[in-house]
Amino acid sequence: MGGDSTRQIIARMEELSDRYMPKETGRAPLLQDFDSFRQALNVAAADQRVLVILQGAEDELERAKETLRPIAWSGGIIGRFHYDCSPEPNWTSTISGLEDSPGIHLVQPGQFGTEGVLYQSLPLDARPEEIRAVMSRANSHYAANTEQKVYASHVAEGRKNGIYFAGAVPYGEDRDADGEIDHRPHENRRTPRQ
Amino acid sequence: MHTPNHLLSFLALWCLVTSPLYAQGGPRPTDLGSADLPVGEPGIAWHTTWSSAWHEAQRSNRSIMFVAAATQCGGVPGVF
Repeated sequence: MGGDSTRQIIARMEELSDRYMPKETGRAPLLQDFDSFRQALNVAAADQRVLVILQGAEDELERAKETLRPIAWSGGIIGRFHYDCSPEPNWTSTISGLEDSPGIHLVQPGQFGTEGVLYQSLPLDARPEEIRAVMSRANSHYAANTEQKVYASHVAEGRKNGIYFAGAVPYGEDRDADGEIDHRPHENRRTPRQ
Repeated sequence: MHTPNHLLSFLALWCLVTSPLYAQGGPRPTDLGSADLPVGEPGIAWHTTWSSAWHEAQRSNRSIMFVAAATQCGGVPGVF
């Protein structure tokens, strides 16, 4: 992105944000979450961040979320993790080293986000200092043992190994407006090439 | 984390889409290198559902910066 474009975007953002006066609530922002564990693991792999999963009964889970909330948005932690609360049944089948039990589970995503490895689990009522310390260690461990992803070779390797993520919506676009997704640029042309 | 001031006034919401970038004239997969951000360093703390972003925006009275992205390329997951 060129310098002029960046400046224009920033100017526009400042113009928009001037219309709102942020409230000082005295509390940390809400904890992030995902619509599904499958999606969370995929995103964690794409961003190369450790995934923090909260699993348990509703009341315990709400208390744990409140404990985790200020930690997630604090210095040293913010922007280094993704979070998923209440993963769907059977989510543990893709994570090695994990028992299906309540807790705060720190998972290192695999290369393609289709599986992962447990770093450590904590009880839902763990103390904030303990949670923060384990999260910091998990991040350091993951960073030290994870090679920065090169997207071109990642995609090539995925194709070679037949790695495929079936999304909720079919991939591609309806380029010829016939109501069907065209998976390749020249698929489903109405008029065949001569 | 060094967050520019203009971003502090916004709430970052990031949404998953399925169309690959290159289908819209963006870069081809073979053109892409690695992210600028080293593994383990802090990036943007996105809200990853509309629900949490909306509630947080209302709670803190901030506007939402909405970004759509795909975490797959040609069906290969684990990549932006």
